[in-house]
Amino acid sequence: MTEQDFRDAFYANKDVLYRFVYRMAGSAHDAEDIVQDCFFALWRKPHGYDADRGALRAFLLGIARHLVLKKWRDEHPHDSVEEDSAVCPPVDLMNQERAEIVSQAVQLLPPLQREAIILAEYEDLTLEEIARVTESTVGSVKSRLHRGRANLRGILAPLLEEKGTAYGTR
Amino acid sequence: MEPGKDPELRRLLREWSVPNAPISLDVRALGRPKPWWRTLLSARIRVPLPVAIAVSVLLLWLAVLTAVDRLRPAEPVRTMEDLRGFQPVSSVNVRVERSTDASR
Repeated sequence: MTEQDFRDAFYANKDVLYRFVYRMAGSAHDAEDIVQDCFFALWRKPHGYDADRGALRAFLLGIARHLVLKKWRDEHPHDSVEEDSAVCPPVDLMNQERAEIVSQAVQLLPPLQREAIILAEYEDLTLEEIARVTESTVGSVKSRLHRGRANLRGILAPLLEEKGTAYGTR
Repeated sequence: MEPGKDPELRRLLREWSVPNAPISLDVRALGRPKPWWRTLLSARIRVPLPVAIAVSVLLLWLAVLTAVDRLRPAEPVRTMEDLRGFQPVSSVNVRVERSTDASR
């Protein structure tokens, strides 16, 4: 990989990586650190990327995901990322902006549901792309998306009710 | 459910926007921008192969022409070898002037 190739890859993918990590980790500082580490990994081992296995974006998102989950496991040594059946508690809606409430709701999701929701709802990845990034099957991704949306509808019910569309009322 | 098939929830989720990567990340990942003179020294241009070959052949041809021109021996200075039509002067009036210096 030449320096120019690396620069092209950086400028083409830095924003999607940054937004993904920002939403996963909930911190601009962590996002900057982790995205830097992603590109450092690409620079050190460019042959780790196999174009036949998918787009560079999916490869880099996979690295970012690994780093985010590693950090999460370090900070939550007794919790499991596999909590697919977890039901999230409601958030405090008092004196908070709607965007802040949505942010908190997404942060409350278990990591595997959160990454699926972020990649699908914010970055518009297909089921196949999400499966590639998360090294899982399309079926698992569908399941996580379903549970994640159900959790979010539960957490955000008061905001959805404002529009008369609370979860389960339609 | 396919991605994006819950538009109502999606609209609500999209109220949370996050910024794109800051410029500081560029500096961290790519290093500081090079000064102009370093950029100039390390700049590269991409030239299509046929153009590169044509330019190389042209330069080689010019170099060969120049070399051949330098190796060719210089032509000798031409002297008049043919005396046809030469006519000597018919009358020569030589005028001798004496010196007026008495000491000689």
